[in-house]
Amino acid sequence: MKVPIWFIIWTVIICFDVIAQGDNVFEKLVVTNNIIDKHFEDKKQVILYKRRSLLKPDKKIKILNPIYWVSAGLIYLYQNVISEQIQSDCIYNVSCSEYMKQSIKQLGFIEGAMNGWYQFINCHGWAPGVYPEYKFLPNGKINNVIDERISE
Amino acid sequence: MLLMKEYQNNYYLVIFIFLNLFIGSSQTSSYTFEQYLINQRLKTDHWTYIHFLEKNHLTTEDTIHFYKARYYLNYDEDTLFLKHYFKSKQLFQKDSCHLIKASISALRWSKKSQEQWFLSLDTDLVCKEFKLKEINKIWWSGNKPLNFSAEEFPYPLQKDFLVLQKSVKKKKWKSVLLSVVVPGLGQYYLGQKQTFYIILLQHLLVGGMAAESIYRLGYKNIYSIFTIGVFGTFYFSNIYGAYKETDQIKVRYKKQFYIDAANYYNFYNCQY
Repeated sequence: MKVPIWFIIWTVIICFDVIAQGDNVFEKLVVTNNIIDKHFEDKKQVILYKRRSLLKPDKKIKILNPIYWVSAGLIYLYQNVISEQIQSDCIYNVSCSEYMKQSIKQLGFIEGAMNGWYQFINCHGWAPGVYPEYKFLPNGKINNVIDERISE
Repeated sequence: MLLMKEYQNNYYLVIFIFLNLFIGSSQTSSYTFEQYLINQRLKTDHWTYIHFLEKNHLTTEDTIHFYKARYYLNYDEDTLFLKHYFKSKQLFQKDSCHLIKASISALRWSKKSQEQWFLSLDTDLVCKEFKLKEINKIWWSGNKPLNFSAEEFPYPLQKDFLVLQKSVKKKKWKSVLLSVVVPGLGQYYLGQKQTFYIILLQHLLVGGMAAESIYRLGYKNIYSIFTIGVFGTFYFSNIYGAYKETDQIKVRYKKQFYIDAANYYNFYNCQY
């Protein structure tokens, strides 16, 4: 029986990713138990590790839709496995994956996915030059809103 | 010493409040006291003062709404301000200073409350006050920029207005058609040169990957299907982005124009 090479490579990568993810969670638990409990009285100031939630549908009928499960699962996998490893810092206030999750919820799968993907295309070093002054928050990030025509 | 000073201040404040309540009981409004509370940012004290007047029926209902409207105006709460403003409209319109102050801060509000405020102003009142007329003109010019020229506004606002005028002239079908022909050209048409270069580069990379996989492995291979899918999502999201951005840049430049105008006229302070 012939096993394709790409299949072996992907399984190895995913296995390493899951192992690394486990290590990361373990390290965070050690930090929270030993350092934060002793030195910080107000725990609300410290951002603890929290698994990010699955995309929740507006209506219960949407659970039957397979497209919903695919999109929700892919975003969940990215946010909790891949994004943790990258440790990236986005220039937008709402990160690309979270923005896509919200826009799918509001605009539906096709329009929401395109809307989220467009932000992913625009996430580069020159992006701040495109936006006017008022769009920047005090922390230097761009305040991104899903539909500015309605919300502003 | 510092503690002593704090106690002294509180002592004066208590006397001040007592005296003002005494004056307030004789149906006269104390502008200086209110101004003191606003300048010192004593929000809770200001609210207790108004609440005390309301509870003991020391003033009429109209004046209580008038006080509340001014209170919410100073602490930037537009919806509550408008609620009390409509209940004491006749009283508020006599106070031209606060009318100007409210219309300056209205430029920073949401679209809905802006419409509520500016459409409620009487034309005679607007014609009488020069500054009110100017700010009213700014709001109308933001809504219909093609009916005005940039020379009508003060110099620091002219640049923003010209950008707004340009953005209004942009058409959806043009930006969509351009981004269909060349990915990112729609964004160039909208004035976003940086995104054009980035989008074109991304499409060249992904498109090149897809073309190579089709040439080497054929259409039916999983890898080539994956690359074509990625290129498709890039391409269609670029078209959708151009379609969406034409509307959104109008909103953005309009809001920037309003905020800059509000900052330009912000030196205005009410004197009692």
